[in-house]
Amino acid sequence: MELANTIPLAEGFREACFVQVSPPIGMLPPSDIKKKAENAFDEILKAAMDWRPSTGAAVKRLAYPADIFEFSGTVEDIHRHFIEKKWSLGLPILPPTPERIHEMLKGTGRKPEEVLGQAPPRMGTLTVELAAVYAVMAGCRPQYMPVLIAVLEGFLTPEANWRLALSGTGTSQLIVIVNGPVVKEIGIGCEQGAAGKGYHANGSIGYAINLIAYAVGGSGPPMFDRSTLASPSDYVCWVFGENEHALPDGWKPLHVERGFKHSDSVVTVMAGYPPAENMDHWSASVEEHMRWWSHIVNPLQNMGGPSVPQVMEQNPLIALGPEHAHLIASEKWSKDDFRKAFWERTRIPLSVWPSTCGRERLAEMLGPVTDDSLIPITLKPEQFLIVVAGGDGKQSHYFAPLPGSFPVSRLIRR
Amino acid sequence: MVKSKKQTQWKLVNPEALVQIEADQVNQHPKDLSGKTVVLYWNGKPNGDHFLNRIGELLIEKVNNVKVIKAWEVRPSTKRTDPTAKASSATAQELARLNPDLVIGAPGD
Repeated sequence: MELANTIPLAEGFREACFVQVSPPIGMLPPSDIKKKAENAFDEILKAAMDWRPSTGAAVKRLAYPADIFEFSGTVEDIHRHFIEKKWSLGLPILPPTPERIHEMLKGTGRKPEEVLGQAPPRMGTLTVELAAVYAVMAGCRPQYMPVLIAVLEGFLTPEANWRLALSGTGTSQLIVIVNGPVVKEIGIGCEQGAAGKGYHANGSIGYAINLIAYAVGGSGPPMFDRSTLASPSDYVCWVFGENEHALPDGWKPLHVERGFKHSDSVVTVMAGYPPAENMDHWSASVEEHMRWWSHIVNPLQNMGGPSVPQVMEQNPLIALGPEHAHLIASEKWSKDDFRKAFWERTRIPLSVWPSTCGRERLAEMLGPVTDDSLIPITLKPEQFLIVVAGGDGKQSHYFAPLPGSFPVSRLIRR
Repeated sequence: MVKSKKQTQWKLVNPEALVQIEADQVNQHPKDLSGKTVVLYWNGKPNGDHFLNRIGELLIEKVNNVKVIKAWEVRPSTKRTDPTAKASSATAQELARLNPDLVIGAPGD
């Protein structure tokens, strides 16, 4: 119910009237649902006629400057205090002293009072100063600030649908891909194990993003994060650079494909599900490799097809390991050749879905369909985002996008 | 946690975010539904239609002269689980075109 109350807030309204019906609603026979409706009816009717919007004035407090408070105790005491106040995810933090914030802000030319946006789901006001506070707590270096700010601006763009990523029942992952000179300049991991341990920039930026999601956006379980299981990615999210040096000849890096210059430093953010791993060690031809992909990936991974047809308009991410990318390119395939083959091979018959998944919207998007119709992941092959990521090893990854989350790219400004 | 002995006086920056948005006030609900138009809004999630169908039947049974409109039947484009701001705004406008005095939705799962 608390989560439901954030819906009108995110849409620009103070509140709405809700009546809670005990879950579940899905996966029950219609007779059970009818009974639930009958049980809830009196309360719904009462709410329909008696509920009145509140008239209280909004809270008045300035978002900038942040208050400074005195604290007596050890570093451990600070850590515990921050956990209790829900300002910390529970992992160690660096105490945000005014001096450290001042140093962190030197990493950006942006003014500390600038409001970057309202972080969902509870729409906490995120200033540049507050971003610096959490950057300090996460152990970032000042030179990471431009990347962190670009990432936050990306996620705060409605197209990224940060709100659902931080509050839905799925195991959502925030994904950040970095391209351009900044990768080398600040040491973003882009080769062996790029998204994993040992890369300070990736790790601390990924930690800062999630601290902000939790403490500013209020995304903690059970409210407002309703993820059924969630994942450790809620502590440190996916941050990696594209391995641009490993791109096969003629393949453009992601940021150039998305309209930026080679010399630009760019972040691309999106929300997706945990990746499906392709560990094809055997294929000696692209044909064999594509057959492998066709049995790993399909539209069910993000409720595509008739379940939520709109996800077919979105952009799944394929992170090819360099060895797989070079196998594909060895037969003179371009990225577009790969996209087309991937799109064709990953289709599955409509008969796979339960009959309760309505087909009307799907038919509107694809034309007439039957049980034998092959349903693709996306409407068009060109919707797939492809990056070459990581180092040695025959491993690639497919990230299905979270429903309603489109990739957003932002130029990194110093 | 092993506690270090060193006690210190600290000045810390409060990381609490301000939660304050310029939000529009919502309309009052009607005091009586008799003779009013109630739009039922289903976003397509499983079983929401069965729930709202029964609510519609009960409204007609218990409220004088109430007009019940099932949005998903007359405006099929409103039946969608598309959690983007753009889609949400489009749905709200579609519902408004039905001139409801009240909208009852079943958004959860």
